[in-house]
Amino acid sequence: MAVRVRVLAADQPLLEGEADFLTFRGADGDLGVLPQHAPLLTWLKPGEVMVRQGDGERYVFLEGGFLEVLPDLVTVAAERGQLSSAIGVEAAEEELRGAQERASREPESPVAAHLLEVAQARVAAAQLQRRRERD
Amino acid sequence: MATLRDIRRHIRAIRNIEQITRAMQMVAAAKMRRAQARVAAGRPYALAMEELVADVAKIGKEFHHPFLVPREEGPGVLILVTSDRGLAGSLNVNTLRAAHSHMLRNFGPRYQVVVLGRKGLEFSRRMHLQILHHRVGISDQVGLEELRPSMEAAVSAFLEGGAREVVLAYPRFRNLLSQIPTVKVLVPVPPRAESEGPHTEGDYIYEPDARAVLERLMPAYVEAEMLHAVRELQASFYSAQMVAMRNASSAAGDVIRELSLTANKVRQAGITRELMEIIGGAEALQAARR
Repeated sequence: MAVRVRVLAADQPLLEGEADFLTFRGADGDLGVLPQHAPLLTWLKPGEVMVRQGDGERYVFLEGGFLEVLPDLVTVAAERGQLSSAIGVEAAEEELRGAQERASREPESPVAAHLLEVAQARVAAAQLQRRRERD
Repeated sequence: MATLRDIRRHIRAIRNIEQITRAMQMVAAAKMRRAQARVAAGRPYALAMEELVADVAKIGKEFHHPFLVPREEGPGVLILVTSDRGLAGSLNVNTLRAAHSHMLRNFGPRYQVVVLGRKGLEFSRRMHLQILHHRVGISDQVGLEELRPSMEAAVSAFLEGGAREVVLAYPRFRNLLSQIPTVKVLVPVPPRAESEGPHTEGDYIYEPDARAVLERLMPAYVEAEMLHAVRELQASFYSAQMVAMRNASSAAGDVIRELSLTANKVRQAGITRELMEIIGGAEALQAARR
Protein backbone atom coordinates (compact mmCIF):
# COMPACT_ATOMS: atom_id res chain seq x y z
CA MET A 1 0.00 0.00 0.00
CA ALA A 2 1.46 3.32 -1.01
CA VAL A 3 0.37 6.90 -1.28
CA ARG A 4 1.04 9.17 -4.24
CA VAL A 5 3.22 12.15 -3.33
CA ARG A 6 3.98 15.33 -5.23
CA VAL A 7 6.27 18.06 -4.00
CA LEU A 8 6.01 21.25 -6.04
CA ALA A 9 7.87 24.53 -5.83
CA ALA A 10 6.54 27.64 -7.56
CA ASP A 11 9.17 27.47 -10.29
CA GLN A 12 9.50 23.71 -10.74
CA PRO A 13 8.22 20.32 -9.58
CA LEU A 14 10.72 18.82 -7.14
CA LEU A 15 9.56 15.28 -6.58
CA GLU A 16 6.77 13.03 -7.73
CA GLY A 17 6.18 9.39 -6.93
CA GLU A 18 4.87 6.85 -4.47
CA ALA A 19 5.65 6.65 -0.79
CA ASP A 20 5.21 4.14 2.01
CA PHE A 21 5.88 6.78 4.61
CA LEU A 22 6.78 10.43 4.79
CA THR A 23 7.72 12.99 7.39
CA PHE A 24 7.66 16.78 7.46
CA ARG A 25 7.76 19.78 9.74
CA GLY A 26 4.14 20.81 10.27
CA ALA A 27 2.90 23.95 11.99
CA ASP A 28 2.62 22.14 15.34
CA GLY A 29 5.72 19.97 15.04
CA ASP A 30 7.13 17.05 13.12
CA LEU A 31 4.63 14.66 11.64
CA GLY A 32 4.76 11.30 9.90
CA VAL A 33 2.14 10.07 7.49
CA LEU A 34 1.33 6.56 6.27
CA PRO A 35 -0.95 5.70 3.35
CA GLN A 36 -4.68 5.99 4.10
CA HIS A 37 -4.07 8.73 6.62
CA ALA A 38 -7.05 10.93 7.48
CA PRO A 39 -7.26 14.24 5.59
CA LEU A 40 -4.88 16.80 7.05
CA LEU A 41 -4.00 20.36 6.12
CA THR A 42 -1.11 22.32 7.58
CA TRP A 43 1.50 24.86 6.68
CA LEU A 44 5.12 23.84 6.78
CA LYS A 45 7.97 25.25 8.72
CA PRO A 46 11.24 25.63 6.83
CA GLY A 47 12.85 22.19 6.76
CA GLU A 48 12.98 18.85 5.09
CA VAL A 49 10.29 16.59 3.78
CA MET A 50 11.37 12.94 3.78
CA VAL A 51 9.73 10.54 1.36
CA ARG A 52 10.41 6.83 1.91
CA GLN A 53 9.66 4.23 -0.69
CA GLY A 54 10.89 0.69 -0.14
CA ASP A 55 14.47 1.04 1.07
CA GLY A 56 15.00 4.44 -0.53
CA GLU A 57 14.58 7.77 1.18
CA ARG A 58 14.48 11.07 -0.63
CA TYR A 59 14.80 14.45 1.02
CA VAL A 60 13.51 17.80 -0.17
CA PHE A 61 14.25 21.07 1.58
CA LEU A 62 11.37 23.57 1.57
CA GLU A 63 11.33 27.16 2.80
CA GLY A 64 7.74 26.85 3.95
CA GLY A 65 4.56 26.09 2.04
CA PHE A 66 1.48 23.97 2.52
CA LEU A 67 0.85 20.27 2.84
CA GLU A 68 -2.38 18.44 2.23
CA VAL A 69 -2.87 14.79 3.11
CA LEU A 70 -5.66 12.82 1.49
CA PRO A 71 -5.95 9.05 1.84
CA ASP A 72 -4.39 8.41 -1.58
CA LEU A 73 -2.52 11.63 -2.32
CA VAL A 74 -0.15 13.96 -0.49
CA THR A 75 0.38 17.38 -2.05
CA VAL A 76 3.19 19.65 -0.92
CA ALA A 77 3.25 23.13 -2.45
CA ALA A 78 5.97 25.57 -1.49
CA GLU A 79 7.13 28.92 -2.76
CA ARG A 80 10.75 27.77 -2.87
CA GLY A 81 12.60 24.57 -2.30
CA GLN A 82 15.31 22.27 -3.57
CA LEU A 83 16.41 18.68 -3.25
CA SER A 84 18.51 18.37 -0.12
CA SER A 85 21.27 16.85 -2.22
CA ALA A 86 21.41 20.09 -4.23
CA ILE A 87 22.13 22.33 -1.23
CA GLY A 88 25.64 23.71 -1.25
CA VAL A 89 26.97 23.72 2.31
CA GLU A 90 29.16 26.79 1.80
CA ALA A 91 26.38 28.76 0.11
CA ALA A 92 23.98 27.82 2.91
CA GLU A 93 26.47 28.92 5.58
CA GLU A 94 27.07 32.16 3.70
CA GLU A 95 23.31 32.74 3.61
CA LEU A 96 23.11 32.07 7.34
CA ARG A 97 25.82 34.64 8.13
CA GLY A 98 23.96 37.22 6.03
CA ALA A 99 20.67 36.40 7.74
CA GLN A 100 22.24 36.62 11.20
CA GLU A 101 23.68 40.05 10.40
CA ARG A 102 20.37 41.28 9.12
CA ALA A 103 18.48 39.88 12.09
CA SER A 104 20.82 41.67 14.50
CA ARG A 105 20.47 44.90 12.51
CA GLU A 106 16.68 44.67 12.39
CA PRO A 107 15.65 42.80 15.52
CA GLU A 108 11.99 43.78 15.08
CA SER A 109 11.61 42.76 11.45
CA PRO A 110 9.49 39.65 10.84
CA VAL A 111 11.09 39.31 7.40
CA ALA A 112 14.58 39.17 8.90
CA ALA A 113 13.40 36.64 11.47
CA HIS A 114 11.89 34.47 8.75
CA LEU A 115 15.03 34.63 6.61
CA LEU A 116 17.08 33.63 9.62
CA GLU A 117 14.82 30.67 10.32
CA VAL A 118 15.06 29.55 6.68
CA ALA A 119 18.83 29.91 6.65
CA GLN A 120 19.23 27.95 9.89
CA ALA A 121 16.99 25.19 8.58
CA ARG A 122 18.91 25.05 5.31
CA VAL A 123 22.26 24.72 7.05
CA ALA A 124 20.82 22.00 9.29
CA ALA A 125 19.48 20.18 6.23
CA ALA A 126 22.82 20.51 4.46
CA GLN A 127 24.65 19.02 7.45
CA LEU A 128 22.17 16.17 7.74
CA GLN A 129 22.53 15.50 4.04
CA ARG A 130 26.31 15.39 4.36
CA ARG A 131 26.04 12.90 7.18
CA ARG A 132 23.62 10.76 5.18
CA GLU A 133 25.99 10.75 2.24
CA ARG A 134 28.84 9.60 4.45
CA ASP A 135 26.89 6.66 5.90
CA MET B 1 5.66 59.15 -61.31
CA ALA B 2 8.31 58.59 -58.67
CA THR B 3 11.86 59.08 -59.75
CA LEU B 4 14.39 56.31 -59.57
CA ARG B 5 16.14 58.03 -56.70
CA ASP B 6 12.91 58.20 -54.65
CA ILE B 7 12.28 54.53 -55.15
CA ARG B 8 15.83 53.59 -54.20
CA ARG B 9 15.56 55.66 -51.04
CA HIS B 10 12.30 53.95 -50.20
CA ILE B 11 13.90 50.52 -50.66
CA ARG B 12 16.76 51.47 -48.34
CA ALA B 13 14.31 52.63 -45.66
CA ILE B 14 12.34 49.42 -45.83
CA ARG B 15 15.50 47.35 -45.74
CA ASN B 16 16.39 49.10 -42.48
CA ILE B 17 12.98 48.32 -41.04
CA GLU B 18 13.36 44.72 -42.09
CA GLN B 19 16.66 44.48 -40.26
CA ILE B 20 15.04 45.77 -37.09
CA THR B 21 12.03 43.47 -37.27
CA ARG B 22 14.30 40.51 -38.00
CA ALA B 23 16.43 41.32 -34.96
CA MET B 24 13.30 41.68 -32.80
CA GLN B 25 12.10 38.35 -34.10
CA MET B 26 15.32 36.65 -33.01
CA VAL B 27 15.23 38.24 -29.56
CA ALA B 28 11.58 37.33 -29.08
CA ALA B 29 12.29 33.76 -30.17
CA ALA B 30 15.04 33.34 -27.59
CA LYS B 31 12.95 34.90 -24.82
CA MET B 32 9.95 32.86 -25.84
CA ARG B 33 11.80 29.58 -25.36
CA ARG B 34 12.80 30.55 -21.85
CA ALA B 35 9.34 31.89 -20.98
CA GLN B 36 7.77 28.71 -22.32
CA ALA B 37 10.00 26.56 -20.12
CA ARG B 38 9.06 28.67 -17.09
CA VAL B 39 5.34 28.31 -17.80
CA ALA B 40 5.64 24.56 -18.11
CA ALA B 41 7.73 24.23 -14.94
CA GLY B 42 5.40 26.45 -12.90
CA ARG B 43 2.10 25.02 -14.04
CA PRO B 44 2.00 22.03 -11.61
CA TYR B 45 2.36 24.36 -8.61
CA ALA B 46 -0.46 26.65 -9.74
CA LEU B 47 -2.71 23.69 -10.49
CA ALA B 48 -1.93 22.12 -7.12
CA MET B 49 -2.83 25.33 -5.27
CA GLU B 50 -6.05 25.52 -7.26
CA GLU B 51 -6.91 21.93 -6.38
CA LEU B 52 -6.00 22.50 -2.77
CA VAL B 53 -8.46 25.35 -2.26
CA ALA B 54 -11.09 23.49 -4.28
CA ASP B 55 -10.62 20.50 -1.93
CA VAL B 56 -11.03 22.81 1.04
CA ALA B 57 -14.17 24.28 -0.51
CA LYS B 58 -15.53 20.76 -0.87
CA ILE B 59 -14.69 19.06 2.41
CA GLY B 60 -13.64 21.85 4.77
CA LYS B 61 -16.46 22.65 7.18
CA GLU B 62 -14.80 23.76 10.36
CA PHE B 63 -14.06 27.33 9.32
CA HIS B 64 -15.76 29.11 6.46
CA HIS B 65 -13.15 31.46 5.14
CA PRO B 66 -14.72 34.44 3.31
CA PHE B 67 -13.17 33.14 0.06
CA LEU B 68 -15.45 30.12 0.31
CA VAL B 69 -18.72 31.99 0.79
CA PRO B 70 -20.59 33.25 -2.33
CA ARG B 71 -21.73 36.88 -2.20
CA GLU B 72 -24.84 38.46 -3.62
CA GLU B 73 -23.67 42.04 -3.83
CA GLY B 74 -20.65 44.21 -4.23
CA PRO B 75 -18.43 45.44 -7.06
CA GLY B 76 -16.35 43.21 -9.27
CA VAL B 77 -12.57 43.23 -9.16
CA LEU B 78 -10.61 42.37 -12.27
CA ILE B 79 -6.97 41.37 -12.13
CA LEU B 80 -5.83 42.33 -15.59
CA VAL B 81 -2.62 40.76 -16.84
CA THR B 82 -1.21 42.47 -19.94
CA SER B 83 2.18 43.28 -21.42
CA ASP B 84 4.06 46.56 -21.10
CA ARG B 85 4.96 46.77 -24.73
CA GLY B 86 3.14 46.23 -27.99
CA LEU B 87 4.23 44.95 -31.40
CA ALA B 88 2.64 41.67 -30.48
CA GLY B 89 -0.32 41.51 -32.82
CA SER B 90 -3.73 41.37 -31.23
CA LEU B 91 -2.59 39.69 -28.01
CA ASN B 92 -3.53 42.44 -25.54
CA VAL B 93 -6.57 43.57 -27.48
CA ASN B 94 -8.03 40.07 -27.35
CA THR B 95 -7.44 39.76 -23.62
CA LEU B 96 -8.86 43.20 -22.90
CA ARG B 97 -11.91 42.56 -25.03
CA ALA B 98 -12.69 39.22 -23.36
CA ALA B 99 -12.12 40.61 -19.87
CA HIS B 100 -14.07 43.80 -20.46
CA SER B 101 -17.10 42.07 -21.88
CA HIS B 102 -17.14 39.58 -18.98
CA MET B 103 -16.98 42.41 -16.45
CA LEU B 104 -19.62 44.50 -18.27
CA ARG B 105 -22.01 41.56 -18.30
CA ASN B 106 -21.58 40.81 -14.62
CA PHE B 107 -20.80 44.10 -12.96
CA GLY B 108 -21.55 47.01 -15.29
CA PRO B 109 -19.10 49.60 -16.60
CA ARG B 110 -17.59 50.83 -13.33
CA TYR B 111 -15.77 47.78 -12.05
CA GLN B 112 -12.46 47.85 -10.17
CA VAL B 113 -9.12 46.73 -11.55
CA VAL B 114 -5.76 45.56 -10.32
CA VAL B 115 -3.61 46.09 -13.40
CA LEU B 116 -0.37 44.43 -14.37
CA GLY B 117 1.25 45.79 -17.52
CA ARG B 118 1.19 49.14 -19.28
CA LYS B 119 -1.29 48.09 -21.97
CA GLY B 120 -3.88 47.20 -19.37
CA LEU B 121 -3.21 50.42 -17.49
CA GLU B 122 -3.76 52.55 -20.61
CA PHE B 123 -6.98 50.66 -21.28
CA SER B 124 -8.22 51.10 -17.71
CA ARG B 125 -7.57 54.83 -17.83
CA ARG B 126 -9.30 55.17 -21.17
CA MET B 127 -12.34 53.32 -19.84
CA HIS B 128 -12.32 55.29 -16.56
CA LEU B 129 -12.19 52.12 -14.52
CA GLN B 130 -11.47 52.32 -10.82
CA ILE B 131 -7.80 51.44 -10.60
CA LEU B 132 -7.03 49.94 -7.18
CA HIS B 133 -3.41 49.16 -7.94
CA HIS B 134 -1.16 49.05 -10.95
CA ARG B 135 2.20 47.62 -11.70
CA VAL B 136 4.41 47.93 -14.78
CA GLY B 137 7.90 46.63 -15.47
CA ILE B 138 7.49 43.10 -14.16
CA SER B 139 10.69 41.16 -14.76
CA ASP B 140 10.94 38.03 -16.90
CA GLN B 141 12.21 36.08 -13.88
CA VAL B 142 9.16 37.09 -11.86
CA GLY B 143 8.63 35.35 -8.52
CA LEU B 144 5.91 35.40 -5.91
CA GLU B 145 7.41 38.25 -3.87
CA GLU B 146 7.36 40.57 -6.83
CA LEU B 147 3.61 40.17 -7.16
CA ARG B 148 2.80 40.33 -3.45
CA PRO B 149 1.64 43.98 -3.35
CA SER B 150 -0.63 43.38 -6.34
CA MET B 151 -2.05 40.26 -4.72
CA GLU B 152 -2.65 42.14 -1.48
CA ALA B 153 -4.55 44.87 -3.32
CA ALA B 154 -6.87 42.30 -4.90
CA VAL B 155 -7.34 40.30 -1.70
CA SER B 156 -8.12 43.34 0.44
CA ALA B 157 -10.63 44.58 -2.15
CA PHE B 158 -12.49 41.37 -1.40
CA LEU B 159 -11.93 41.04 2.33
CA GLU B 160 -12.20 44.68 3.32
CA GLY B 161 -13.67 46.32 0.23
CA GLY B 162 -16.72 44.07 0.06
CA ALA B 163 -16.18 43.00 -3.54
CA ARG B 164 -18.45 40.28 -4.87
CA GLU B 165 -15.89 38.53 -7.04
CA VAL B 166 -12.23 38.62 -7.98
CA VAL B 167 -11.70 37.73 -11.62
CA LEU B 168 -8.39 37.04 -13.35
CA ALA B 169 -7.79 37.74 -17.06
CA TYR B 170 -4.70 36.81 -19.07
CA PRO B 171 -3.71 35.25 -22.36
CA ARG B 172 -3.09 31.55 -21.93
CA PHE B 173 -0.18 30.24 -23.94
CA ARG B 174 -1.18 27.25 -26.03
CA ASN B 175 1.42 27.30 -28.76
CA LEU B 176 3.33 29.66 -30.98
CA LEU B 177 0.30 30.55 -33.05
CA SER B 178 -2.41 30.35 -30.46
CA GLN B 179 -2.83 32.33 -27.27
CA ILE B 180 -6.21 32.01 -25.69
CA PRO B 181 -7.80 34.92 -23.81
CA THR B 182 -8.71 33.46 -20.44
CA VAL B 183 -11.09 34.94 -17.89
CA LYS B 184 -11.68 33.04 -14.69
CA VAL B 185 -13.19 33.64 -11.28
CA LEU B 186 -10.63 33.26 -8.49
CA VAL B 187 -12.68 34.33 -5.50
CA PRO B 188 -15.06 33.06 -4.20
CA VAL B 189 -13.38 29.75 -4.92
CA PRO B 190 -15.45 28.08 -7.67
CA PRO B 191 -17.10 24.87 -6.42
CA ARG B 192 -15.91 21.56 -7.81
CA ALA B 193 -18.04 18.97 -9.51
CA GLU B 194 -19.26 16.31 -7.09
CA SER B 195 -17.27 13.64 -8.90
CA GLU B 196 -13.97 15.52 -8.58
CA GLY B 197 -11.71 16.04 -5.63
CA PRO B 198 -11.38 14.00 -2.47
CA HIS B 199 -13.99 11.40 -1.63
CA THR B 200 -13.63 11.32 2.09
CA GLU B 201 -15.91 11.52 5.01
CA GLY B 202 -15.35 14.35 7.38
CA ASP B 203 -13.17 17.40 7.56
CA TYR B 204 -9.43 17.87 7.59
CA ILE B 205 -7.30 17.78 10.66
CA TYR B 206 -5.89 21.32 10.66
CA GLU B 207 -2.59 22.36 12.13
CA PRO B 208 -2.36 24.67 13.95
CA ASP B 209 -6.11 25.31 13.41
CA ALA B 210 -8.55 25.76 10.55
CA ARG B 211 -8.71 29.52 10.65
CA ALA B 212 -4.96 30.08 10.82
CA VAL B 213 -4.19 27.67 7.99
CA LEU B 214 -6.88 29.02 5.67
CA GLU B 215 -5.96 32.62 6.34
CA ARG B 216 -2.51 31.81 5.05
CA LEU B 217 -3.55 29.46 2.30
CA MET B 218 -6.10 31.67 0.55
CA PRO B 219 -3.83 34.63 -0.25
CA ALA B 220 -1.12 32.18 -1.30
CA TYR B 221 -3.60 30.65 -3.73
CA VAL B 222 -4.39 34.02 -5.32
CA GLU B 223 -0.69 34.76 -5.51
CA ALA B 224 0.04 31.42 -7.18
CA GLU B 225 -2.67 32.05 -9.77
CA MET B 226 -1.35 35.54 -10.47
CA LEU B 227 2.20 34.32 -10.87
CA HIS B 228 1.07 31.67 -13.25
CA ALA B 229 -1.00 34.18 -15.24
CA VAL B 230 2.03 36.45 -15.59
CA ARG B 231 4.14 33.56 -16.83
CA GLU B 232 1.45 32.59 -19.31
CA LEU B 233 1.37 36.19 -20.47
CA GLN B 234 5.12 36.31 -20.95
CA ALA B 235 5.20 33.13 -23.02
CA SER B 236 2.21 34.39 -25.01
CA PHE B 237 3.72 37.82 -25.49
CA TYR B 238 7.04 36.64 -26.86
CA SER B 239 5.30 34.13 -29.13
CA ALA B 240 2.91 36.74 -30.47
CA GLN B 241 5.74 39.22 -30.88
CA MET B 242 7.88 36.71 -32.69
CA VAL B 243 5.07 35.89 -35.11
CA ALA B 244 4.22 39.56 -35.61
CA MET B 245 7.86 40.38 -36.34
CA ARG B 246 8.19 37.44 -38.69
CA ASN B 247 5.15 38.68 -40.59
CA ALA B 248 6.58 42.19 -40.65
CA SER B 249 9.92 40.93 -41.97
CA SER B 250 8.29 38.94 -44.71
CA ALA B 251 6.01 41.84 -45.61
CA ALA B 252 9.07 44.06 -45.83
CA GLY B 253 10.66 41.51 -48.15
CA ASP B 254 7.57 41.59 -50.38
CA VAL B 255 7.57 45.38 -50.53
CA ILE B 256 11.27 45.43 -51.37
CA ARG B 257 10.72 42.95 -54.20
CA GLU B 258 7.90 45.02 -55.65
CA LEU B 259 9.79 48.26 -55.34
CA SER B 260 12.86 46.73 -56.97
CA LEU B 261 10.67 45.68 -59.86
CA THR B 262 9.30 49.19 -60.21
CA ALA B 263 12.79 50.63 -59.89
CA ASN B 264 14.02 48.39 -62.71
CA LYS B 265 11.09 49.33 -64.87
CA VAL B 266 11.71 53.00 -64.28
CA ARG B 267 15.41 52.56 -64.99
CA GLN B 268 14.60 50.58 -68.15
CA ALA B 269 12.09 53.20 -69.24
CA GLY B 270 14.75 55.87 -68.71
CA ILE B 271 17.28 53.99 -70.81
CA THR B 272 14.76 53.37 -73.55
CA ARG B 273 13.80 57.03 -73.57
CA GLU B 274 17.40 58.12 -73.80
CA LEU B 275 18.04 55.70 -76.66
CA MET B 276 15.02 57.00 -78.50
CA GLU B 277 16.28 60.52 -78.02
CA ILE B 278 19.75 59.63 -79.32
CA ILE B 279 18.35 57.78 -82.30
CA GLY B 280 15.92 60.57 -82.92
CA GLY B 281 18.71 63.11 -82.73
CA ALA B 282 20.98 61.08 -85.02
CA GLU B 283 18.21 60.70 -87.60
CA ALA B 284 17.47 64.38 -87.47
CA LEU B 285 21.16 65.12 -88.11
CA GLN B 286 21.27 62.71 -91.03
CA ALA B 287 18.14 64.20 -92.50
CA ALA B 288 19.59 67.67 -92.18
CA ARG B 289 22.82 66.59 -93.91
CA ARG B 290 20.85 65.14 -96.84
